[in-house]
Amino acid sequence: MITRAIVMKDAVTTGTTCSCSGLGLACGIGAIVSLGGRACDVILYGGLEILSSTASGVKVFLQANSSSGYLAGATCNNPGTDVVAFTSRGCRDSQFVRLPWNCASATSTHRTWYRLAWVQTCAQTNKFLGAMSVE
Amino acid sequence: MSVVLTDAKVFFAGYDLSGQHNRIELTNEVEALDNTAFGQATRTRTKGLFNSRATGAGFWQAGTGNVDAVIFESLALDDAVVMLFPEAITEGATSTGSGYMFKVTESRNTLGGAVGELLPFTLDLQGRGVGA
Repeated sequence: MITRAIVMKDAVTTGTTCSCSGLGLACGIGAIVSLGGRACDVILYGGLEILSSTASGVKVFLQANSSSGYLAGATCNNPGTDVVAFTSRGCRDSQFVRLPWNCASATSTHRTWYRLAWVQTCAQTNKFLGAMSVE
Repeated sequence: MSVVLTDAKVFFAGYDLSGQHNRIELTNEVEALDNTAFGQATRTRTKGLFNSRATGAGFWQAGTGNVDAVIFESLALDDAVVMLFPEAITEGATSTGSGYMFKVTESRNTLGGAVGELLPFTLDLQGRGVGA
């Protein structure tokens, strides 16, 4: 089944930080994007293309906002709700997942916004593309 | 607004094969099952299973990370993801970053052409659902 996707992180961007969590572009991570979201148990699709990495060298998180999520926080210390966590399995990899996100505690606004974050080995260079969509 | 297909992005199994493709097609369909019964004046149908497919073509290149190595080694690999973006990618954008993604099994690749032509290849990727 094909899903329409929104790019959350450009493949040609290279990250060299030890780790990053924060409020989207403000902290240099994947953009916060409104993908919509009609109701609770939103069906989320996440895709990842790892173009260059070492095995287990990068973990990519697709995150959804929630009442206690990243948009509710004023600093870069609130990682939001992880709905997908991919770990690279080799220097080249691609992964895909479909899952319902139970956002029963979130408000309607909180069912809309999503972002991508990642952690990686310190000073390592990884290239990847992460995308996300809502059914 | 129409899109001129000049900068499509083709990602497959962790490789960016955009620069070696000059054609990409995406098929998204659902079976229309005939449930016509006696007493009806027209055929009636109901939806069945979804099916998806991507086919690509371009110019063959050998070497690490190029189509020769990637699509030859990926034949029958059924845990790969293909992502297609009709326009150039912009991080987080909804206007120029929109595309399509699905898990595929590479079912066929072909190679060959006529004398005097650039050596072409074709690639056939069949959607395989989202299970592990």
